[in-house]
Order: sequence, then structure tokens, then C-alpha cells
Amino acid sequence: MPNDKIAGISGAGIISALGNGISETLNNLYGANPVLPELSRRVETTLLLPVFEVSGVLPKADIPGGFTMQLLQIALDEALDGAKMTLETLRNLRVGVCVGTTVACQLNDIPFYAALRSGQGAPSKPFRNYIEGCPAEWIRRKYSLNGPALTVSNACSSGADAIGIGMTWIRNGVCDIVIAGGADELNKVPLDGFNALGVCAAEPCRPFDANRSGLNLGEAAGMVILESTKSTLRRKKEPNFSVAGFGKTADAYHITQPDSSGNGLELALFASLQNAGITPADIAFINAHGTGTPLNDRVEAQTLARVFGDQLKYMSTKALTGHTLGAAGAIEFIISMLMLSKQKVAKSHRFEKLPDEIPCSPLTETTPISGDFALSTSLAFGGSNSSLIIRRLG
Amino acid sequence: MKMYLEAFRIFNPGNMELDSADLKTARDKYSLRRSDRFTSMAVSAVTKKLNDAFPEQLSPNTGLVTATAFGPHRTTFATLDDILDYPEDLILPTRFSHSVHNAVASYVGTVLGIKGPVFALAGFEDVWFEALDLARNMMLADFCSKVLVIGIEEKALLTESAPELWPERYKEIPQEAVCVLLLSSEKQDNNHGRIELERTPKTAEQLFSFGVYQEFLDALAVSSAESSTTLHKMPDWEFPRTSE
Repeated sequence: MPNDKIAGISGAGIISALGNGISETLNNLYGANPVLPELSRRVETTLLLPVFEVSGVLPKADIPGGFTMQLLQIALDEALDGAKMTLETLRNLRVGVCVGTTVACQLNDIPFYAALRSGQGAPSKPFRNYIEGCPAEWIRRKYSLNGPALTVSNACSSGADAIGIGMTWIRNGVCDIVIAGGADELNKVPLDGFNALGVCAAEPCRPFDANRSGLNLGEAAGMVILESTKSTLRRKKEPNFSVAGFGKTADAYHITQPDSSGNGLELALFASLQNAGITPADIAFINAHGTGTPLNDRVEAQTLARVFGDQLKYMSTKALTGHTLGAAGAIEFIISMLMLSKQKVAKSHRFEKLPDEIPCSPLTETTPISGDFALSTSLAFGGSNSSLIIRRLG
Repeated sequence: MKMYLEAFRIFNPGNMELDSADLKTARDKYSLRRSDRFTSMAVSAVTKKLNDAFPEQLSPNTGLVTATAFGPHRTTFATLDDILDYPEDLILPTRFSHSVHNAVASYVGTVLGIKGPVFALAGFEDVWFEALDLARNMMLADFCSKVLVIGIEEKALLTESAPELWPERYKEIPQEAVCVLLLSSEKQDNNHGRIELERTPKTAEQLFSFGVYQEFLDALAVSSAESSTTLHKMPDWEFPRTSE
């Protein structure tokens, strides 16, 4: 691929239950004592469901986009800092913004709605904050940017899709720089909704395990700064990683369940490999979607085994972060990048026993690797399949 | 790369409208008994029998982009009704699953057999323009050679309350509408000419909360294979902070 088509990663920022920032995330990723989910401290609920909440950040009242935007800003600040970019750098370039979210696209404010439906007059602030806080538009406005601004709401693949779209903008020459990623707060509506769907576990989740019983919700933000080669050369920066490939397909099967054949995911995997110009043998490891639900994990593991065969090395980080919905694809992309940089893949936490329907075990120990490519999958409601490939440069 | 318009359909008050019979026809034909009104509107818009060039079948690797400002807020609020009125563990799973923005994309994709890249977009600053720009980028990147773009807004308690909640921004209740464009990078699919995108803002009255201005619709109405229609990005809303 010509150099001018490379979407380099100049900076990354992350916040989740696993840690606030790259450094803390890395420490806890390989640490001996994995973070455990707890009953929510913030969401008013009677459900006894463990969740992964971010610690050490107090939600501010009445801000556009709510806690989701607070998390996003923390991750974005770290990413911009890592890329050594200032407001001035951004203003002088063609900068696009692409953010995945689920919660920030809906006005889920229950007191607001209770007042609205009563007909007694609702406060206008939540409505204005909802519109003003639409993530990508909010960033474009805040930093006075002039490029495209897309908020992707593709459910649980939103964050991955945002990074994939950002890659195409760089490769197509539409932008010099793209701010991309995903963010979602833990919110009562998805908590109740996922519980109603019967997919939440009453215990810490166990992706791919024989005794897995569902997912734990979480909250997070992960942001990356993508940059064209022209821009990095001009700024005299050398990115260590790039977004090497993106594959995106739809199952056209069912609104919530994946196609049990895994055909849609398989197509997305091959599309991303083709997009990156590599073969399955080039992939050092896979950070799987791995939610811990019986159906997702079976379909995903069977499909990965079919495509990658005996050399498959895979794991899931959701036992450490929970399922962070619109942020999941973005934080898992960043965690994959960190593992690629260390040439060491974390084990799939809380996996103990291989079930009959899953053809091969995820990694059960921290595993050294030798390779330049990693792949991260994201699957969503509506049979939306995403596959992102990260490349170590240099 | 040139972007050609193969077919288009615009449904909005005063123009062609979708009525409840249309929604029922779509629901019955495609067994959409659980789908909400928002989704039924979109499915009906792309499957309604009309005397136009809109194809009944699309190639599986077609892309799909949906664009909305408020999304399926009737269903979102129905989920909140459940939370307010029932014990927390008794909310209806179907309502919740249909309240997510990409439910409509999932249904349309399933009905039309679309297995290519599918994206659901949300935004208030001309997300319609951004959806067409994304379609162009998907084709330019060779992800697909054809993209179905659907802009959709549904009348709901939230949209009806918008002028009261934010009178400076919403002078009127946002219109209910579905705009459908089938775009292609292949010249053989050209029925209504080229679509050009221009990010330099154009000041015009925005017709729907997801975007679109009248001049663009007028140009589509008289378009032919020789036409070239330019869609400009509309300027972002300038946020004057107000206190309550």
C-alpha cells in the first residue's frame, strides 16, 4: 500500500473500569488481580447485576452529552496529548470526527420524560443538552473543525465502525487527521433493556467458558487520532501503529441475534484481511467481541476457528471492562494496539472450561507473540459485523 | 469516482405521503409484526409499489446508511413508560431492542437482503449530507458499488414538543419524512444523473430535522441521466446559550 494511504495512529486515549489512561490500563491488563464488576454505585436500580463502572470520575450535572461526553473528553485529551496536538494544529488542517455511541443518541432522561408525558411542562435543559451533546458534532464545534462529523449509532459495533470510517477518510484523502473512537456511560435504560433481553449475567462474566451465563455491562471511552502520512511527515512524527484494514458486513438475519452460521462475520473478517492486503496467517492474535453470552461466543469462536484454523490465538477483554456498548469496539482496538506493542497478549480472564460447542480454547495465560498485525472483532444488534486490523509499523 | 443516482423516493407532508395502509402492507408482506412505526415507515418507503425506477431487489453487497436526528423516539419513550409504570424487571424486551438507532437499518437490510456495510447515523447538523458523504466514501474505498441512503424522521412526543422546549431552534414541529436515495458508482445504473457534494455551507431552510433543503428536492424532481445535482452542507446551528 502506498505510504500516502496509511492511516497512522498518532495518539490514543482510554478510560474504562480497567483503568484511567493508557498506562493504568496496561498495568491492570496484565496484573495478577483482575478488576471485578460490582453492583452499580451510580445507577438507581433494583437489579442485582454486577457492572463495570469507571472509578475516580465524578459525573457533572447538566452538561451536554452527560457522563458519556465526560468520559469521551478524558480519552480525547489523552489522545491529543499523545499525538502532541494542540487546538492550533487541528484548526490548520482538514480534520474529521467520527464517534460511536448508543446512549448519547437517545434522550433517556427519565425525570425529563416523566415531566413531559405528564403535560405539566418539562425542563428544556435536558433536551438542549441532548442535542448539543451529539458527540461528533460537539467535538467539531468545540475545536472549531471543518471536516465531516459523524456520530455512528450501530449499537455494540459503533466504536469500531467509527475507527473504520475514519480510516477510509484518511485513505480517500478526505482528511489529514481524524478524531475517532467511541464512548458510552452506564445508563439505567440499557441496563434494564439488556436485562429484559435475558442476556445479563448475575455474576462476573466468563467469555467463551462452558459456564458462561451472559454479559456484564460497563462504561468507557476510547479515542484515537488518525493521521495521514503527509501530515505526519509535515509534523515530523512517526506513528508506531496504523489502522490497516476494516471489514463491515450485515447478517440480514435478525434484529438482535447473530446469524448462527457466522457467515456475516466470516465475510467481515475476509473483507478486513483483503482491505489490509494480508492473509489469516499474518494475524498474531484476535481480540474477540466475546461478550460471555451463550450464542455470541459460540458463533464467534466457531467462525474464528473456521477462518484462522490451528494458528488461532484469541481472547476477550470483556471480563475486565464489561460490555461497554458503543465504546467497546474502540477500547478493544486500543487494548489490542497495546498488546501488539508489548508483543504479549493477555489471557482471557475467567475462562476455565472449554464447552463442547466451542472448537478451541481462548488464551488461558499471558502469551508472547511475534507479529505485526492484530485483529479486533465487534458484533452488534441487528447482525452488524465489524473487523478492524491494527498494524505495528517500523 | 462519480456518484450516480439510480433511484429516489421522497415522502413528506404535502408531497407523497405514507399512510397507515402503506405501513400495514409492509408489515404484512414482510412479517414485521414486532416492528415499530419508525421501522415500518422506512420499510414501506423502500418497498412500496410505485411507478418509478426503484428496484425490488438489491445486490447483497449493497451498502446501507440510515440518517436521523431524533431516531425512534416513540419507542424510546415507550421503553421509558415501561420503566416508569412497571417493576424494573418487567419492561418489554422488544420495545428496548427497537429503540436502538440501528434497528431500522437491520430491518431494511433484512427485507432487502443487504449484506454489505451498514451504518446508522445520528445527528442534528445536516446528518443527511454526512450520510451521502459516507456513501461516497464507502464506494470510493471499494467497500461496495451501490449504497442505499435513508433519511428518516418520525412524529413523536419529543419532536412535537421541540418548539416549546427550544423555540429559538425549532420554530415549527419537525416534519415527518423519509428520503431514500439509491446511489451507485457504476455508470450503467445512472437514471437521474450525478450527485455532487459540496461542503461549503449553503444557507437555506432545512426541511427536515436530519437535513435536506427544497432546492435539492426540486432538482431531483426534474433530474435526468444528464443532470448534475449538487447537495451543499447546511451551516451548523450556532448555539446561543440560554438560561432557564
